[in-house]
Amino acid sequence: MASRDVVAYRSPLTTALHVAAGLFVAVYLAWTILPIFIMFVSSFKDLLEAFKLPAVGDWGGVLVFFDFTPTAKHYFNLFGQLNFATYFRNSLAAALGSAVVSVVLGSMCAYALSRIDFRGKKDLFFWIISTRMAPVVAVMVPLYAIFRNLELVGTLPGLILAYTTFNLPFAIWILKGFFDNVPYAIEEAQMCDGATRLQAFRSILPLVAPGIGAFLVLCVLFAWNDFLFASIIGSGGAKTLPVATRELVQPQNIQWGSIMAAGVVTTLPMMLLGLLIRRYLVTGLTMGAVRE
Amino acid sequence: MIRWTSRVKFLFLLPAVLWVLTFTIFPLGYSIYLSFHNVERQVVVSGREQVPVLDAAGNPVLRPDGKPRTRTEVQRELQTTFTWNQFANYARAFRDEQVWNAVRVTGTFVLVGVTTQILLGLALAWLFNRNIVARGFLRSIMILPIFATPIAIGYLFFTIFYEVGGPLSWTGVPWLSNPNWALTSVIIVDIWQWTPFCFLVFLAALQGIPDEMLESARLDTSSEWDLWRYVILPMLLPVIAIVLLLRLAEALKLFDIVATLTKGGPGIATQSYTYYAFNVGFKLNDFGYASAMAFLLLIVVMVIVTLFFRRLRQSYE
Repeated sequence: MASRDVVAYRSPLTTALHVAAGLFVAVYLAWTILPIFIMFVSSFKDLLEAFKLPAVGDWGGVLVFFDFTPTAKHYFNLFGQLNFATYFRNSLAAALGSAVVSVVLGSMCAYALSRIDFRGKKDLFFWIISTRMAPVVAVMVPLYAIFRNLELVGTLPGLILAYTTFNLPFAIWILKGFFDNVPYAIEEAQMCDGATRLQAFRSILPLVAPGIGAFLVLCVLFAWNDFLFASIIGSGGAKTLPVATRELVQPQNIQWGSIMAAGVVTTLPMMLLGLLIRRYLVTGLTMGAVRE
Repeated sequence: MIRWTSRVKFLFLLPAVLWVLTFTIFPLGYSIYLSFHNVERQVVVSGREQVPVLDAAGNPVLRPDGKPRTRTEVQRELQTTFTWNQFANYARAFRDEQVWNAVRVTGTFVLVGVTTQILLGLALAWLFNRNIVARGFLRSIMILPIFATPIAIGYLFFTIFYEVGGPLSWTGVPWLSNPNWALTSVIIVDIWQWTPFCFLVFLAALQGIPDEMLESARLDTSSEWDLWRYVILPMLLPVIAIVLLLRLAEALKLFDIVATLTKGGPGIATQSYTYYAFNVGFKLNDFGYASAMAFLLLIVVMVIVTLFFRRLRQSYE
């Protein structure tokens, strides 16, 4: 017996605690994954099967949930009759459009902020981050009025403008962090060789490219999941998936299968994208305050 | 460091700064303007016109006497009038019982929800911060709710909490029909979605604590509790504060879940502040009052953000 085994003696109490901890994690995982699982399963159910009735207090009733014949008709219905392909495109165009505009303008501004010192820079920063945290509803009414006058309500450019409003401050904030990590020496060498500032900026872009890419995805995610702007500015001509999903809810004969299918169509791409950038997630979601 | 020519400086800075200025300061100014006005929007008849009736092919339909058939078309116009009413909108907000109800709902939601998320997140991060099987994979599963679209999640939980035949109906709990339970349900959904965020950030912070530090601390004490109390927690404190700030700012805007899961009901039991302000503005078309309410919320959020930032600036620099 190696000496290590002796040292690693565990009292029964420790073992019990370990088991409890494992159980807690397992239960939490189940609680996280079950709703998503239910959404998937329900999207393949017919209306009648979706609400089979177990009696109150009947534990076996839970099994009723799995008693159904799978059907893909809701997906066919969404894309065949309800124009979900269009809404999907709208969502994608609005989200991607605003992400690209935010990242392009944001990276230039962030680069300059990272390299120049000027009076009031900190205040400018504070102002930028507070615009990101301010409640959207505070500018909702005026934005709607302005957009209506510019005839941007119900158009994709309108949505892109609106989303850029909340993605751009975020972009400036995060990207500045990325540029701060790039040494000055590279640009200095370039500019001594006669490069212009813009060329020098372009030369360091590859260094921050992974961060920018991850951040672009995050911007897409925020815009994609938005409902408040979409329902006011996008409704009509530029309906996005969340708004379209909401319209599936009719006063009568609600097709829950269709709504769940719409939920899957909306949520699944974002989950995949989110997992793709998980290395940058902590930095992105805490606005650069915590790094991994 | 090579100096910037001022022209280039502006080229880099100006587009973004102008954009943010245009779409935040200007609407905000307009919002303040609106909040001191009584805004009435009504449809008025602005004119009448005789237009020929066309058939399906686009040809004019003729009357028996050979003249084209006509109909009267009424032209309507949306007219908006602004009347200065000093602080009437704000005074109304402080007297409005629905506002106080919304404050209570949002307050409960924020207090209970955010506290639970942070505590649960800390516990989970602590449990994950050791060698457990398939940690990376499990972590990926854990964070899935963060990416879920709130609208979809709201409807998903509507079916889950459905009291007649939903998957939780066997509990016999009035999930959505009882005022207190409905608010609890909204909080549960928020906890489901955002605990993973707290967990993720706390886990990253825990992993960022240097091993040497923990090892040398372990020489002084054998108790895990002391280790947390005197070493880990002080190091986590700024991170907890940041998570708290971000969650507070986000939770105060509660809208999507309420709009889908409960529609503010039963009655107004889960009507959050944003939901109420939104409805006043876009359902009742009372732009002035809605702006005043929104502005009050903005002040609250700004106070919170400012207070936190006094303390947190270092983490961001």
